[in-house]
Amino acid sequence: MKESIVLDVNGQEYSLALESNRLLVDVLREDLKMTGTKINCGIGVCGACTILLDGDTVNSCLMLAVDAVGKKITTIEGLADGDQLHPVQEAFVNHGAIQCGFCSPGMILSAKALLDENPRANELEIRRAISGNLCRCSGYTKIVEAIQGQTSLK
Amino acid sequence: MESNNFSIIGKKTIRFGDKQKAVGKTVYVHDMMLPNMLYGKILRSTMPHARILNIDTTKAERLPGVKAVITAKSIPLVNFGPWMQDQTLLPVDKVRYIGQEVAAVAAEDRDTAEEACELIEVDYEELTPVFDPVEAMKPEAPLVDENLAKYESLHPSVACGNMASHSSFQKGDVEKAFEDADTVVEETFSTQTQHQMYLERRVALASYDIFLERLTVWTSTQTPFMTAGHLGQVLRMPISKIRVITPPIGGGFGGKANPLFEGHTAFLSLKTGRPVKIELASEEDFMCTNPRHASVSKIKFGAKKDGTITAFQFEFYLDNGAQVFEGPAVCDLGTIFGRGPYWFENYKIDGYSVLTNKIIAGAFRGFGNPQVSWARESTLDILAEKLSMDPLELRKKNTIKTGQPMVTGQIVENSGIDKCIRHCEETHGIGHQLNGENQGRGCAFLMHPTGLLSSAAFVKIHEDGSIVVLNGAVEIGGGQSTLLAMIAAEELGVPLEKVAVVLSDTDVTPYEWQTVASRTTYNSANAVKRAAADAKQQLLKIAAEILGSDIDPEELKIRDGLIYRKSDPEKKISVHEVSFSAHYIKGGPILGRGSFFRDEPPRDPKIMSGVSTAIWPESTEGIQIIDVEVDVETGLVKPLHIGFANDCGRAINPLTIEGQMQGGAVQGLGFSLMEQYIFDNGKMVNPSLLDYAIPTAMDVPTIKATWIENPSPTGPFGARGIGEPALVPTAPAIANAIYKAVGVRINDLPMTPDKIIKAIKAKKKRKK
Amino acid sequence: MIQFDFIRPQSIKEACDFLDKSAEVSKVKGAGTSLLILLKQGLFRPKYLINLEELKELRFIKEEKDGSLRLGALVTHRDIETSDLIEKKYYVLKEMELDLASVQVRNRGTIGGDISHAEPFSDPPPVMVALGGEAKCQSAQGERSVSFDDFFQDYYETALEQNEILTEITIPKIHARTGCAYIKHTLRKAMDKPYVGVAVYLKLDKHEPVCKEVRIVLGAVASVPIRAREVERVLLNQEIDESFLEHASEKGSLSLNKIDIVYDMRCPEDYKKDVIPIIIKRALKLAFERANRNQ
Repeated sequence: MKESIVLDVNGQEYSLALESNRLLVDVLREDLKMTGTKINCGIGVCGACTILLDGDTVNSCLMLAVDAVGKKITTIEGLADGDQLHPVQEAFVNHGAIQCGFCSPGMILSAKALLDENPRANELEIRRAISGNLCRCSGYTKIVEAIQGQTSLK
Repeated sequence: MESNNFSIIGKKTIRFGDKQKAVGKTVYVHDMMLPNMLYGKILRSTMPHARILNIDTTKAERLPGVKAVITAKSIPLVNFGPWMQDQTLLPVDKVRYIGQEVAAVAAEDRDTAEEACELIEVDYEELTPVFDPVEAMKPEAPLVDENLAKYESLHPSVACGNMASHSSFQKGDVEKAFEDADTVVEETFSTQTQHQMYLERRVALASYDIFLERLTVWTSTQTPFMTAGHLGQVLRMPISKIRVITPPIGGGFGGKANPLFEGHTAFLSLKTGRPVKIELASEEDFMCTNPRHASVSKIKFGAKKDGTITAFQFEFYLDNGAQVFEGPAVCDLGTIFGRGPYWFENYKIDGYSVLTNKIIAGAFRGFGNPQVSWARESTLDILAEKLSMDPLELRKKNTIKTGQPMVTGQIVENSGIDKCIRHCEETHGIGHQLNGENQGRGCAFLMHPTGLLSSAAFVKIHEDGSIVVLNGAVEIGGGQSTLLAMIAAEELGVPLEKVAVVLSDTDVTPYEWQTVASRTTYNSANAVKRAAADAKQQLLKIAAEILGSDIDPEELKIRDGLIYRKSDPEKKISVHEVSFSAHYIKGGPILGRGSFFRDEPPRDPKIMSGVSTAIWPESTEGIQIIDVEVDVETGLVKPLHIGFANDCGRAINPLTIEGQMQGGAVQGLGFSLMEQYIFDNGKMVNPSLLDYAIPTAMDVPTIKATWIENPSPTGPFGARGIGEPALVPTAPAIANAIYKAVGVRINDLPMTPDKIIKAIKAKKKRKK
Repeated sequence: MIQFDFIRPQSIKEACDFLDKSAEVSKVKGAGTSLLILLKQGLFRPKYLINLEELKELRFIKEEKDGSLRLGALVTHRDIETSDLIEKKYYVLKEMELDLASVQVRNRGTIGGDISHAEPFSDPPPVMVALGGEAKCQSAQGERSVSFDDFFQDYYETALEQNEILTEITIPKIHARTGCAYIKHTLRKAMDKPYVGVAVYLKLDKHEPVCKEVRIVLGAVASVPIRAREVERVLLNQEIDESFLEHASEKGSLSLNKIDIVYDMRCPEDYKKDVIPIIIKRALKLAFERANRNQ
């Protein structure tokens, strides 16, 4: 059954007519053409589909689009301000924490969510916060360093 | 570790494209959609070995939304394969593994394509399968491919029965050497099937334009050129009518080093006249692609009392899966580098790739070296103990020196292993032991090739003096475009900001074999350096003419985009002005051309057999030192620290090297401790990221990755590639550390807790 | 994925009423993190998906006057993980959440959804049994409480009738001289479902280190959480110290060798049997430590 819903994505409202079985990640990527959010496992393990829902990280591959009505969705596309990278994005680039880049959108959002909640996160807290984002290229070391550089405990 | 005397290389350089990746704007093939696009899906065999009696596609064809269905009957069939031509896109007579392509459909949406596949009816007649490579070598084993010996092959190895290839090297008299040795050790080892687990699943998008009569394919691949060649072959089209474009890909690690279903995608596009996209589901990617060869091996060392190893015998069997594919090449690498960064007087090395009715194994970072290093580096520690020697001292005694030959006869031009050892003694505490309870430090050495086959590049100079580098390498995550820009900028003497790089488009960029084997730093960069040098010569010739008739181009130098006479720097002109002049006044637009294909060393049939002529032109050495703590009650192994040193020849971009080494070591961690395919009657039963465990951020210890610069005489500015070897020594280093920690040795990978507990129990029993 | 009608009840009563009329063809959804996977795989093909996620009335963490804890079924794992009340007074629940899946899953996944799903390799079930909790099952006909001792019946099967919804969990007060612990044994340090999970509830005598009450519950070992009754028998009314705990774990676990270990492709049966007494011992030691501290 098709429903008319409104999704708030990166501060903008989008009116959509969707089947209720559409996954949020597919709607973001295919209907709204925001392909920064990626899909790999489809079972909420790899974290490539991570977005922020009211500031908290969630796997958009395990959400129906209709579940997101009334919530604020932030995708990777919503982080930079024009051509100004968000500090977390800047840190990833400067530390060489990006290799193939496929995990990066989800990883960056997880980092941002952590730092928003716990700006003085230590290494263990950082690793725990990103343990739901799998990276196969980097071995995580430079990612952790990039995030550490952003904590107030410098 | 910083290089000096260079303007650009050796400095940490922010990589091109990283900002775009950070904001999620990079378009991977995963993200691509074309107007009027159809979704394709492949129907796959559910039998490990069966004759195909009939395929009925009627119901599928009638399903609304289905636009095409193909089987072996509906497309012309051409034999292909990277070495032996034993593959066809779809099977005619039988299926040989669970997951093999049987048919393919294209439909308006993914759900319809999936439903259509379910409606295709296939009648199979079950045949007896064989799943183990050692069993498959026996004369009574069922034959995976009865025609194996009949196919054409580009590899010199002879195939028969289920044996796809046999590479071997020998020198001296190992039997006598074993008899004369003071100490002999003999062990067996095994390794498991491991998946590359690139995050962007394999995906291809094909679009055939019926008016232009041209096929364009966008595919997440490490080899657009091999893909174009493959498509030309299976579609029976000239390659000039095919264009393969590869944007940055979401990881590859070898798993995308060969074409896979681009041919199926292309046929569906041809039949429908519309673009068709096939993207593997996560489960499919595990079960139907090309993971690492599993192996079993037997290894034997003979040594004198003082630790000189006089005899080395090594025999390994690779579980190839159902088709020959890359088996012969993996065998080659395993036999060539099985000896490692050492030199022994007498040796006999035999590698076999064997067909089984399982998933086809393929290229994965290391390409045979992790399997052989596992056996060798573990056994060296065992030998050391028997000799009452320190394992480091034993290794030191036998390292290969500059001027000594590899098993192929190729002379090692600048051996780095001894320098690496000294560096590790200063920097990584190699040879020291840990004091904590159940803690241990182990080390393992690596020697790995870099570069293979050919590369070409263009360097063109725009009228304003800005540069474009064109090369067929793929941006797979290793900072390929940045590296090539740096090489070109350094060679030409222009600022890096003036250099753009265009990669991986078979219409536009010149040939590049594959982006694997650390080739970009060695092969592609060499081709780019030559192209830049060629462009430079053209620039200097025109500059000399402009600056004065008495000036020889040899007298000129370029720095920061300015060309000047070395003896009189006031005589100068910018690259911009020269190029402008070339375009509009005299000379013609400047286009530098470079090609690189290192000459093959002479082959001596007395010392090798069944080995391809495509021998790796250069190599690198390295050492990993790993600290672990073992929980003796649960068998859990906790890595505490990884120290890693590699010879990079010349560090081009230090920012990338560390990341490559760290990432590879963590893949090695997965290989050592947790990753494995669990098979049940030829079927992988754990095809999901929940049940196929790869390391998370919580599983990774501190990693200190350093490098030495021991220039390669043939590498660009002396560089050697180090992208590939990072996981080669990890497993034996960990096994050696576990042995130091708790006195048990595991010979079968992965070293899961159940195996550790079993070994600890057995040790306790022996003590009693 | 199959198409369905997405039903948005405005109250739990509305949800129960709808479910009552459509039980055969409906599925109840909390966050849906487990359910969506099953729908994607085609294992269920419901006509209606009854969405509970918006029912704020089911998302609460309350301490009652008698000291018991009530959790609404829609409390998320993350709510439990970050609750000050739970950290102070029911720490074992936080412990259960710390390494459960990932932050992303915990941010949406609900305790009610997890428990109703009754997956053998899940963290909450053994903890619920160890704490002696109760599940409130509501339907159009009314509500009833089911002890967690009886709630988990088989793989993916609970005491919930087809027309019932789990709305609330009650955990009795954890008194002084009581310590609880949950240890989850996994291969990796994150993401993994338990290979063996042990939840312990240990109550000591007011003054002496004598075990007055103990519940040791194993998860990921059988199709449902099971009590390590032999270990409990060894401990009950005995004076305990660390070495006695070790002895009890080893001796009592011998009987566990006879149980039907649920098939787990990740490790051999023998390994689980080897590791069970170890994890029991560790969980008991931790609970004992906490019981001593909890005056």
